[in-house]
Amino acid sequence: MSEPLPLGFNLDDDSWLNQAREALEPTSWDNLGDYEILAEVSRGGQGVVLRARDAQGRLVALKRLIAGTLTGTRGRLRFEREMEITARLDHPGVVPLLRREILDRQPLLVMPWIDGVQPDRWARPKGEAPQSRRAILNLFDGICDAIAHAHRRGVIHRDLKPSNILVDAKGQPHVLDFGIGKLLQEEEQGEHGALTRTTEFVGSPTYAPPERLLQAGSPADVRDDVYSLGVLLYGLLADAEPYPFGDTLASAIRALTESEPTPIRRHAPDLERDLAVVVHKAIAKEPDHRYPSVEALQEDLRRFLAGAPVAAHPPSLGYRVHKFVRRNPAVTALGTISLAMLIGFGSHAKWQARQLTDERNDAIHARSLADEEATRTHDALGFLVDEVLPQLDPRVRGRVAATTEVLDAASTDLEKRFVGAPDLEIEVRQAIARLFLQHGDFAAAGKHLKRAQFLLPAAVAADKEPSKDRQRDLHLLTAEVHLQQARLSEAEAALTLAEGLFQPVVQADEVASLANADGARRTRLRIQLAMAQHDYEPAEQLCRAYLNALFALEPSSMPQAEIWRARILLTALLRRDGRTEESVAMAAGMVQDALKRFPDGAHLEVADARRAWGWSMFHHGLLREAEEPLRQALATRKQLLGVAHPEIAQSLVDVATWSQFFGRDREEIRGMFQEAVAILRQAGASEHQLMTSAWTGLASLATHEGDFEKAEALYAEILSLLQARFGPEHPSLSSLYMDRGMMLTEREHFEAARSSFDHAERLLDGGEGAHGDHPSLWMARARNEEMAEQREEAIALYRRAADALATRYPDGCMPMVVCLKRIGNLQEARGEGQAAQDVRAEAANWEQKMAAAGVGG
Amino acid sequence: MVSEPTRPSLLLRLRDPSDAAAWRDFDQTYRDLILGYCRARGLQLGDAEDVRQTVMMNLSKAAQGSFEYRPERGRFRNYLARIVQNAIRRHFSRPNQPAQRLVTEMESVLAAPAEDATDALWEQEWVRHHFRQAMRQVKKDFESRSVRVFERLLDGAPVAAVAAEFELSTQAVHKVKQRIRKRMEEEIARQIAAEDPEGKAG
Repeated sequence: MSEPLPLGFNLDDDSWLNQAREALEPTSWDNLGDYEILAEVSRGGQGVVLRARDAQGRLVALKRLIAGTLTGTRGRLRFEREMEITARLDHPGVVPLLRREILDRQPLLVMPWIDGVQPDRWARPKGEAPQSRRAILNLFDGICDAIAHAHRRGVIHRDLKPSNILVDAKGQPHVLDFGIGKLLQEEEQGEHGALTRTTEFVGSPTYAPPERLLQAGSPADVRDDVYSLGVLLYGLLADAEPYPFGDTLASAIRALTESEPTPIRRHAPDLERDLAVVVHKAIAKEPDHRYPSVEALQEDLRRFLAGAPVAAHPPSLGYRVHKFVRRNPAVTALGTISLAMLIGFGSHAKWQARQLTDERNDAIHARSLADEEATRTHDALGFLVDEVLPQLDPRVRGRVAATTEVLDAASTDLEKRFVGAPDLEIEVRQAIARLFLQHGDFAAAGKHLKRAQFLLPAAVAADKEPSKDRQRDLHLLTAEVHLQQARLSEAEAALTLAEGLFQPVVQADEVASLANADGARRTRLRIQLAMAQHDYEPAEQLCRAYLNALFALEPSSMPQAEIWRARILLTALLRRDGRTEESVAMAAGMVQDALKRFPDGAHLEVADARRAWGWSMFHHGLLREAEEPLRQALATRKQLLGVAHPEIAQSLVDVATWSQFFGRDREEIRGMFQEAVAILRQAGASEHQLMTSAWTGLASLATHEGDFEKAEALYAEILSLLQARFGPEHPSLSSLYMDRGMMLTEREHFEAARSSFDHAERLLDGGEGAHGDHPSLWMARARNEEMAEQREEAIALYRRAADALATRYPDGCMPMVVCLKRIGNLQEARGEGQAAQDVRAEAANWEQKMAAAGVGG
Repeated sequence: MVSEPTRPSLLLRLRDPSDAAAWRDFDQTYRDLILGYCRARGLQLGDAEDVRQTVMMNLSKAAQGSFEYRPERGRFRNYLARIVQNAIRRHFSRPNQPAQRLVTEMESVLAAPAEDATDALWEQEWVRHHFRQAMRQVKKDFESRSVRVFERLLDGAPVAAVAAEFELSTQAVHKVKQRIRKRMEEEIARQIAAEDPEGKAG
């Protein structure tokens, strides 16, 4: 402060005063088009509001939107369409739009000048007595009238807050800025993505419904406005906000996820209990728990004013359906369909708004005006009402239909329904494909995605290009379906397409981008694809980076389901790498974790964890211990997934493979493998790895039963399938060559078996002269030599296998003991009694050691 | 006495893209400087708003990456000038810019060399910016009567007239003027020091 001031500040008294005067004069601006600018009223993230005089001398409010992309051709159309719809609003409580134009390349909205104050300031004028509660409720009723009018015309405000409402001298409310919220929200999700969001989110998130902050991108709904109105009423009555939001978006999100709204009576203890109930119902976190419409909210408030009991509390129909579906997981059809209504057909809310009133004619009128939005709504709802819902009638099939059956029947003639609306058809097919994917019907999902992909160029040509987000989702879905079908090159291609639609990543954000909302799915698919291609090392690296990124997120925004899947993937990767101890520990922790959350075990995540635990123990040498978790996982999946689902097939193959290992009942094993094959065929996953596992199991059964012809045929089929997928010399073919060799041993084709084993070993070693440990292969070879009466060779191979197993399992394991015992037998047969005794003692030693360490087998 | 948060912490806070309050503060502090400079260079309101928007976007980008502003590389004043000047240049070199907007006078302004980070117009607007900020603080610190006296003097009213108006002695009016001027000078010095926290300027 002791530093001398720079030039311009350091002046003599009079010049200084002049300088200060000039500096403090407001910057003057020219006229804007035909408007004489009188003053700048306010400025915010959306733009500037100016008081001005138009050419006719009327006082007007000008709103210049800062909205870069609204000025392009497409953006302008969007702006025009939205304003067109808004212009149809005609209600004393809605501030009309006098004119709209693009001036100076920026959208300019011209509204009459309303002399008024914001409702919060109106309710508590400075230095005067606050308004009575009844006066506040009357004003609020007027605001609701205006909003309800808009809803009946299919317009959701989306940005209701005190600064968008003016109360005039007569106490009448005037609501501003209809249609702006939608434009700006679309803008935000548009070209600039996260960037504009960060710079433009300068408003308070107080009035935004939680689902808008927590899951960006979900379609807006009349209940968005119900929520904002609820917060407005909360503020008017209690002069407070429901949540203690800090300054940052992150802290607001934390408050929303970690706390419940502060009871309004804590701020206003004298508030009537019924009124408090109404306010809290309006601001419920779950949209389903709110009033389904503004009218319903108004009605309840009027009941309160009339002294009648309020209706708040009985849960809405949507909520009841939700609960019902949760309680009855097998009856998933209705639940998923109602989900589809909410997710896939974004116009559900408008439909609801129309259903709720008898002003249906307005909607029809709107349609005749070729309102694209209304047409879209109508088409989407038509599909729902005409095709989907009738299929839900139990009498159609004589029983409750499965979701996939309903979707299948409903979606046969989709293209005829959406002629001229390729964007809508893409949207609907995407939603249907997602449901099929979730239900494990990859073939059906693939069919819809193929058609959606086919329509994409047509949509672009018709200037109806789906948003980048939607296109990305389409490619990710396609990649996921191909991956499930084991069509790896197609999956790779789709994934690459999706990746091209992600924002380029700044180096510093690379870690975070692995795990953000869209990134998480992409990364997980990358890991799975790498695993399917047997690139385990990069898969593990990516998986670890990915998990780190997931855990680095704010706890509230961690995608729990994705974390779960990543952890499951990691246990598999650890097993592959022979780090079975880590894998067992991790999987066991996950089982505990899942059971803590779902003590009755009835959750798919419990099944996932148990399955991972079972196989981890198996690979760790705890062979028998693996049975129970694998069987439990199967039972849980059957119980929860109900219908034929590929995850059930996976568990069937698990249990059958385990049972086969222990030589259990063949008929049961055969039945499980065959059921798995049937499920996978139906799901369009004939090329899935599980399919080869099931076939290999069946071939092995055939071998045991001496049906070598059949076994040989099955092996040939699997081999050609795998070679087509991976190329002729891929390491994953090794186990097949090994199994085939074992079959040939049984068939006493020892030379052919040797060559099959050679092939397997070459593939495992990568053909580079490197030699790894392959104890199970060596055991199979040893048995071949034993059968071929090449005893010396057999002893050497058993020994190699036993040594390798001893290194891998320091506490011992059953196969190693088997190796040692066979060596003993062979040596005895060769008349080497002492050596035989020694090796049997060695085996007994290991058995004791195993018992001490609690290793079963 | 209420002291505003210092600029460096504000700049640091900009690194958190979700810190809406930081962006709001920054915008409130600098928007009139940016708009005033644009106006001084002859831009229309719409263009000035565009430029301001671009500046905020670029700052946001810079803040989200490793923050480009390094005190040792020069004064913040010059850094901001460079960003604003670049935004103006880019704004007028956009392909869809109607040709008639580029009046000759404008072209000559735009032709100013890019390296000349601190032209006289910027210096002038920067001075005005600090007067405005300081005045804002004064209005918070002084009782409203003193502020009103000072405002009358700014309006150009003679000391004697102001004294009569507020029923004060001329001496008292002089005293208010001196006190407020002194306070503003202190505040401006503090603001300038806070702009470049390290104190060493390039």
